[in-house]
Amino acid sequence: MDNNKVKIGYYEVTAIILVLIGTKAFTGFPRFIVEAGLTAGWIIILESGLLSIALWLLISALLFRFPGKSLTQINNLVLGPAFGILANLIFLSYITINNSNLLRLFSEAVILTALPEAPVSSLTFLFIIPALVAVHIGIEAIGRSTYIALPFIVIGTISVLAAIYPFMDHWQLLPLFGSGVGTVLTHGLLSVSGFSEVLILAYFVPYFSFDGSKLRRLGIFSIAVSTLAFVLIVAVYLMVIPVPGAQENIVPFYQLSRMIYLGRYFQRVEAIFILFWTFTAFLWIALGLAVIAIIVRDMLKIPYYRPILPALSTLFVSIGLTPADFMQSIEIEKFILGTIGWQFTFIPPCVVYMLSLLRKKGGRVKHDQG
Amino acid sequence: MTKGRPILVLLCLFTMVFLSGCWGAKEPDELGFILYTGVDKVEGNLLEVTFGIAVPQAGGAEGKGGKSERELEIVSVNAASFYGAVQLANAFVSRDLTFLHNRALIFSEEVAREGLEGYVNTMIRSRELRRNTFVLVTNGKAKEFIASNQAILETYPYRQMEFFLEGKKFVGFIPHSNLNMFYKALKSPGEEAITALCGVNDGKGRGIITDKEGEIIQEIAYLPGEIPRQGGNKIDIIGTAVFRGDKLMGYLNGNETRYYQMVKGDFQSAMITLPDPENKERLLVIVLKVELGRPPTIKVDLKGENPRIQIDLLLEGEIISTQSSTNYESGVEKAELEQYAGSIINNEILAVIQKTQQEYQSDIFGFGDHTRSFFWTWSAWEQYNWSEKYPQAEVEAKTTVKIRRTGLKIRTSPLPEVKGGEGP
Repeated sequence: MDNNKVKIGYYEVTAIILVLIGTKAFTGFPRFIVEAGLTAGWIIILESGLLSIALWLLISALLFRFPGKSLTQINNLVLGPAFGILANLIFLSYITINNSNLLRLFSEAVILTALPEAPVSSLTFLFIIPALVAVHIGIEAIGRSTYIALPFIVIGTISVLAAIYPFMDHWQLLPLFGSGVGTVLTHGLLSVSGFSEVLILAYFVPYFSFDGSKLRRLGIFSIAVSTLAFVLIVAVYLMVIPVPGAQENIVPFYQLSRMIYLGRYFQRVEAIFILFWTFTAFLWIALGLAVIAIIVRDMLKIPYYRPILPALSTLFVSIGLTPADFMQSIEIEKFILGTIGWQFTFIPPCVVYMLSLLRKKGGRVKHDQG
Repeated sequence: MTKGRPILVLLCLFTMVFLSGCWGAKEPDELGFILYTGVDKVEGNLLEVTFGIAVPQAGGAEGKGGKSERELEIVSVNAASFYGAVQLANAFVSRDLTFLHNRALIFSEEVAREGLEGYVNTMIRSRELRRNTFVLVTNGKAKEFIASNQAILETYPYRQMEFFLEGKKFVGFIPHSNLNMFYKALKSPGEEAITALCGVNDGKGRGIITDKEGEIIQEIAYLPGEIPRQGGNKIDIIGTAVFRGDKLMGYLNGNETRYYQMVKGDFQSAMITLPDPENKERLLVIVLKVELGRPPTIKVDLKGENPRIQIDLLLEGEIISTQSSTNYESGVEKAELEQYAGSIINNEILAVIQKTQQEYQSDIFGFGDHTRSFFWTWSAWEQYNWSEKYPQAEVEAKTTVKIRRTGLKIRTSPLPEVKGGEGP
């Protein structure tokens, strides 16, 4: 596939980033946040969101110094070929492990919620094969699918939150600082990786059909909307299933949807939720596969990514099935999102930005003149 | 591409052969739907688990084949654990037993006094049981309760418990209690759990009522099995089982449950019978239909030596019945009636709270949740140990009753003097 011909529009990219960040709401993410902050879980999200916006401003400043270039190319330009590859590998390894683990988590979640007798391997194939086909068709097609799917995902999510209103009790959001100010602030800092998918914008730059100057705004918008959605979901979760019970549910959003009861004729509606949830998971895996394929292609400087898709899919499945059990997968997700993720995602581009300033590499004026 | 298309279509059609079902697929006629589950203790520290399994309608659809003789097949199994009993039941029930449509979990008093944590933990974990499954405690044996229950008016026994626990909000003596509410209160440092109370009524009631005056205010002060009645279903669902931690401490009768629900804010509406204040010697009564005017305002103050709880309750009422000729619909009499009803309800509320403080040491009202705002962190709140403080709390209540409607009458005219009345 010639990347010079493939272009994605502004709204499609926005939908992609929103889905990539927001899908975590359907995994154990709300529970990790509640475990960390107890009743102050929503503050952790708020802090992480604001911090992510600040970090994104730095990263977008880096992108402005190298108009039209992806972060893969920028890393090579600023750090040189050897260290550039290393910087790219850091993000690549992070996103590969994270995506593979999510593939496992979603497969396990389907076993938990809908198909209890199905082998986990069959479900990983159920997700990876359509994802492989979708990425093979192209990133444009996935972008459009995501754009079309987003309103349904948003409506589905809001419907669940609204339908659960009779069970809400605002007192359950107190004490305000939950696990303590220090703990909340620390976890707010560590949890920025919850928004790290915004970095994918930096890798998609050559594909944009719109002006790169909109990149900053797009990133801020995506993080802000995701923050709002996460805050809402965590707050509703806490109000409906308060601490300490909120720390117990494997898939909080599913548990919320199971509780919907608006009279005898409107109950047991989680099956609808499972549908849009599974579709979101599929989009996530397809997008993750596409991102990895693009980064690998850029790193290896090969013209097409299609030939490497089967290999990457196999890698996804292999890594995904490595954890011995569901619990180990959950621990990995928690470790990645709540402890080390930020070191692999936001920090390297910020370091590259600092270095580009120190080494006086890039720069819009200079580039334009050149 | 065009050449390959027929092959692709054939391949898709062929794939359908393998897509006719999924792992674990089960047809509805393979499943035995448990509607009620009862847990009792038997000798040897074993559990006796009773299942009320729905019997499919004989002859198919309703109206064609009519009702089968029994709506429920009742089976009991003794086992060391809950799921052990489920497994064993499959030895003599042909269908795969499932809790997907289980509507009620009924625990015997004995089991509840030992503690429900183990059972509730098991059930919350279940994929099949839902958190909105009703939880009840029976003041007898769960097995007897399930066996005595007859869904007399119901075509579908599944609905019966839903009607009792969701639909009876106009009586106020059946508290809403499900697995989620129980679990939430069980785990909270600021609230204790309750369940609805049920039992078997053998028709004997609790004896002949002789003292009408004393009985008027306590009109519904019954526990299951005590209601003086004959005929109908042989079960009663009335009152509340009060827990401290996971252990049953005692009961609130129907009357107390009503006042509990008023303070809790779960009260919807009910008819309250009061002695006619102007005609007490004639043992006349007034019936008011009351409902919550607004959610109760509860303030907890932790500044003093003991916590202080203030409750402000607004009830709105409608006159349903007056037996005397006193014109309670307006003027001074209406104001007096409002004040009189308010003071009676207020005293009853304070008595219920006192009972939970002194007898059960259990804050089933969730006043402790209102202390959350005094603390910045969860650990500080937990360390305050509200459940230890609650029995010493000083409680004030202010109940205001406002009569908003008077039925279809605007005033009551006395009987003419010639007929022994007071005349116009």
